[in-house]
Amino acid sequence: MGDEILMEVRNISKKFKKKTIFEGINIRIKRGEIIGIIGASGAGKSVLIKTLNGFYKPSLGEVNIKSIQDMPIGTSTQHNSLYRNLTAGQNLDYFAKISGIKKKERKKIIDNLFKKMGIAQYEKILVKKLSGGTKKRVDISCAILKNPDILILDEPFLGLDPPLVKSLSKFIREYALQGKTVIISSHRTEELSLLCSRMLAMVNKNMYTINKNQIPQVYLIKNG
Amino acid sequence: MVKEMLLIIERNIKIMLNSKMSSAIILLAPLLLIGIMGLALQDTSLKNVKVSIYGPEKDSFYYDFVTQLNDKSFKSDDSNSIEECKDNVINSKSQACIELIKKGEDDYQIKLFVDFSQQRIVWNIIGTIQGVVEEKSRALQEDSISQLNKKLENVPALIKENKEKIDSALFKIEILEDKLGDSERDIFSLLGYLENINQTIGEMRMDVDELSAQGVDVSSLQFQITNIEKRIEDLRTEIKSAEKNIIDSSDIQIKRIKDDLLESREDLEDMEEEFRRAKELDLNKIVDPIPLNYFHVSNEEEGTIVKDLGFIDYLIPSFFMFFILFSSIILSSVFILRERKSMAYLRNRISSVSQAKFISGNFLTIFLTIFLQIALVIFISGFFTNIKIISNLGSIIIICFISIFLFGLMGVAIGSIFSSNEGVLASSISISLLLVMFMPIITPLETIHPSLIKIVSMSPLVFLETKLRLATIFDIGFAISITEIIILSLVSLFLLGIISYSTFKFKEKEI
Repeated sequence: MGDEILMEVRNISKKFKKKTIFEGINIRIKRGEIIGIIGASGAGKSVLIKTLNGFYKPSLGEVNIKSIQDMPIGTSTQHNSLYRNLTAGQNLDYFAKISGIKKKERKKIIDNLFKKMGIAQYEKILVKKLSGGTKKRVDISCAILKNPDILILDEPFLGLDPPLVKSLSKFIREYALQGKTVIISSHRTEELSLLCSRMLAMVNKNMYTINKNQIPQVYLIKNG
Repeated sequence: MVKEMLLIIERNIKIMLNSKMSSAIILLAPLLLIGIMGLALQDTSLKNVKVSIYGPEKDSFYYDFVTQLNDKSFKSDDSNSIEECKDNVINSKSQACIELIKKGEDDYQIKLFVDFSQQRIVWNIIGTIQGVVEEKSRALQEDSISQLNKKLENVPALIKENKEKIDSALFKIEILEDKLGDSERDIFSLLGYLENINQTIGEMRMDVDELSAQGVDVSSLQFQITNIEKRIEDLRTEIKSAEKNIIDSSDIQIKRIKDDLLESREDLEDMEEEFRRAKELDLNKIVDPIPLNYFHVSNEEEGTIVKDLGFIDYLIPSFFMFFILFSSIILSSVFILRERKSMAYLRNRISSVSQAKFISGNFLTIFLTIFLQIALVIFISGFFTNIKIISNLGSIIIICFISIFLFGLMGVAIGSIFSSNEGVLASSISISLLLVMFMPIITPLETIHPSLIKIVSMSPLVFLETKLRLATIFDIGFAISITEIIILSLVSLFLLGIISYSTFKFKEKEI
């Protein structure tokens, strides 16, 4: 913990055909850090998140993860990576199986997560019938099934009411305190500034480290 | 590998079961489809076909024809002109226009105007109307034959009557001949008398000559005797000549008449024989000299269809193939796209399970689903069709297995290439329709351009449908040629290539 570098992003660029989404991004993320990434809509935050979690390969550069886990990254996406026609319990069970969690541990882990996230009563309800906040909690539960070293959250506060934002923020802090790294991309700069240890802004296809206390100004300046 | 694929299949099944609509569609759609098909095609005869009839002369033939059409469940209406009749077809008010033209007594012409753009029904209408016309023609034909038969029966009586007349004439000739014989005898006796007279005259001459020798002037007597002798001689000559002229010529004439009568009698006898033969002849053969009967190749039962196989039974193999093709291509393409567009796709993609396993798992789910559907369809169809399913179940399963595999793979390829619902559906339906268009039931190979026959005959759908037809209708076991194995392998490899390329190279395309 402390100064241990968990993820090192070296000069990565991403292009879709001729369209450059971002270029020359370098980030070094330490264990236990909570990193906030802000940026206007279409700035490329989601593509960066998908590049960091391994869904996209960078067009240039590399992403190095220094972890002994076989699946060191857990991801929760903006629209929740869940099967709408499976219940919350079935989603967790399926992703636990896919992650290779053994049968003996599976039930225990899932039960713990349900308790921890306060969603036990929704276990047998189809995801499509759940509220936005509950879906987000189920999605995050799926992301942390294997207790990954790095948790990447894309717009986790989107559509959540203040009590849920507060509760989710509490969970993120607690997770980071376990020596895990959390990367959050969001529009909600206020919550991020309170939660994150470091803030990065994506502006004009580049990444800038910014002072947490100056977020609104910098954000506005960089967005013209 | 197997464990992970089973996991994906289990997940897919849970998703399907949780979605009541999906489960209902998967289970009930084939049942509904086969039920509707069974109901719709159980009785394929034409019903409520509207036809317009134009006939300037409304005679019994016209009304008989209309009645016969109505008996065939046609609905006919009169048109006032041929133009109105044709317009009714163009405006879809009726399916056909029939013009009845009377050319003379019992001489009619029927013209049928149809809309050939209504391909599926037009030939049925033509066939039915042709049937009615043939029925009418047959009635006229039978009437003519019966009249001819009556004439054939009358003529021998006339011949007999004429023969009797000839016999009577011959009898009279014989009497005449007898009478001529009598006349001849009379002439002969007349000549005898003349000879006697001549002899008497001769004796008289001798007496007169004696008197003359004795110096009696009997010259005038001698002269008279000479004249008498001469006259007798002339009379004899004339009688002989008359005998020759009258009797001989009469004899010749009578002989000629007799010969002619005998000849006529022989001719009448020949005619009688000919008519007897004509009566023995089947007159139907004159109008239908070479009868054509057709049978199903696997059965000697005469008719358009085999006794125990109906119209629907012949359609079933093509229907199965239709079902497999559309279900496999559309279901698998939509399934794959839905998976790719699923919110959970990202989580699956970044998991340690390879894409090949995900694709295989999804493909197996589709395969099992369609197999279940086709099994249901086959099982249900067994209740209202007479095709041989149980006796050749092995072959049918193999053919269905190959078909679902191939067309399912085609759907997976489509689902992997396109990124929008519209693209997937449009291409699935287009490819399915393209393949269906060249199915033998829609376009027989023999009717397409020669340059395309080779290509179309290599279409897996064409030869798989043929195999299914042979298995279900003729109970022929599954057999596959080397060429077909090569075609199936090449198509599968090509599709697998597309799937691999799309999955691993198109990953960068954002959905």
